[in-house]
Amino acid sequence: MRILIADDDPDFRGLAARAMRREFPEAEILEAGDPATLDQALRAPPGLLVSDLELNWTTGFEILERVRTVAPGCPAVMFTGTGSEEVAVRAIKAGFDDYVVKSARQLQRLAAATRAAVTRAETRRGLEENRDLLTQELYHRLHNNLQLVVGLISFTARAIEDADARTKLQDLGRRVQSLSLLQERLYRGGDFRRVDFADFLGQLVDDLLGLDSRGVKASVEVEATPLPVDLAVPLALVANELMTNSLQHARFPEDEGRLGVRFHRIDAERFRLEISDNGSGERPAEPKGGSGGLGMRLVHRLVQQVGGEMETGGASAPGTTWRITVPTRGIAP
Amino acid sequence: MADHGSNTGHRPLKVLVVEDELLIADYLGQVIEDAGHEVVGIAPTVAAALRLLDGGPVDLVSLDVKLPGGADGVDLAGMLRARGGPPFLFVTGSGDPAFRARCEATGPLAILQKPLNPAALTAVLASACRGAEGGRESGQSGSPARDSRG
Repeated sequence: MRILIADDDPDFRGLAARAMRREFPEAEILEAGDPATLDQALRAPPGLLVSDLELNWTTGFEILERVRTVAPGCPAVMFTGTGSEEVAVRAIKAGFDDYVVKSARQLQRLAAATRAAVTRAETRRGLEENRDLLTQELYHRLHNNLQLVVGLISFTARAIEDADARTKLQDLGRRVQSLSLLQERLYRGGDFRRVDFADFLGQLVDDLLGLDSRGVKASVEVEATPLPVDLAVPLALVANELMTNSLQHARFPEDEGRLGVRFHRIDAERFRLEISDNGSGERPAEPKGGSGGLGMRLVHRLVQQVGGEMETGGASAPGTTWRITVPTRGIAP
Repeated sequence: MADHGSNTGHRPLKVLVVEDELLIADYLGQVIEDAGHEVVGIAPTVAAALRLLDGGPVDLVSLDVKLPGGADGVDLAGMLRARGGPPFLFVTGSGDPAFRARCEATGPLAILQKPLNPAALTAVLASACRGAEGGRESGQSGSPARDSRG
């Protein structure tokens, strides 16, 4: 372990260094009494910081900040002569583990405080590692189970003789698959609250076109946008429904089938998701009664959930364009 | 689940599926057969996989990463390398980057994430087919055409 002692008073620096050497005999002690020795010491991450509050060129708070940029979670103890309750509170709030008043008689207390801080940091690291392991296990289990669900739906679809019913089950399989894809992007992004929707849309287009053998080409224009999960999930399902609708119902011109996917910010308050195709044939814009228009019923419901609006147009004639406008709800550009 | 395309014009690959969850193995088998290839066996452990590999010709191995009984899919990949083949791909539920790096280090044809996108597996099989036939251009491609990505 490397222990950094930052103090411009060489006497106290020496005292602290001796105390640290006694408490941590294996450690490498680095003494920083001026900017140059501090820079030198921070070339490698320290495992413990002991710092004065007021140094003649900086403060203990600034030193802690610099240490934490190279060694996040590094335990730290403030060792200062400026003893007051207010300073102690400030030190703890700034992220110091403890606060010891400077004096030769307090060296035992300094040793105990640094030992406790190091032990706490180790425990914290251990807990974090456990949490990561648990997350990975859960993720693995979740994805295996989703795979099982997709497989079971597929087996069931194959066992059904009625073509219409079979298609409906296959649609269900695609819905589960698209949610799984979003889930995977969520995990891989590392931020469990947001997901890069552009990245997801690109992959969804690849996946859906991969199931189509007519050589439909896609043009994908998407702005990199991290969306919160509660917005990403309904929009992912909407995108899946509309693209599936195009691929199933549009009568594409021979060898020139086109699918357009756009996702962009139209102003400070709104996003727009646009799915278009150049196929002819009657296409549902509104949910039909009965079980026939399930896909569009889901779309309308989900658009409603996110407070969005949907319009259908024939901007690319022949063809269909769906435009879904969604309020950003304060998502930063 | 839908029409994944068939393997027209190619010799079907003999595929060994290494997967301890048999329903998932069956599903993978279904996708492989839909693509016009043959599943020569399902092995729930590394030991069972090695027995099947010794038992007859195998062109390609689909590997689950986490397997019961000590050795895992990455270990088996290393053994396949050492034996000089056959080529393999991973189908895994794990998203752990360290695990993924271990998989990548073994030089797989692909690492596919569960739940599997059937088209992605079909594409890997098609490209393995082309590889097996000396890079002859195939009329069938599993990956869709794409213009742009903004």
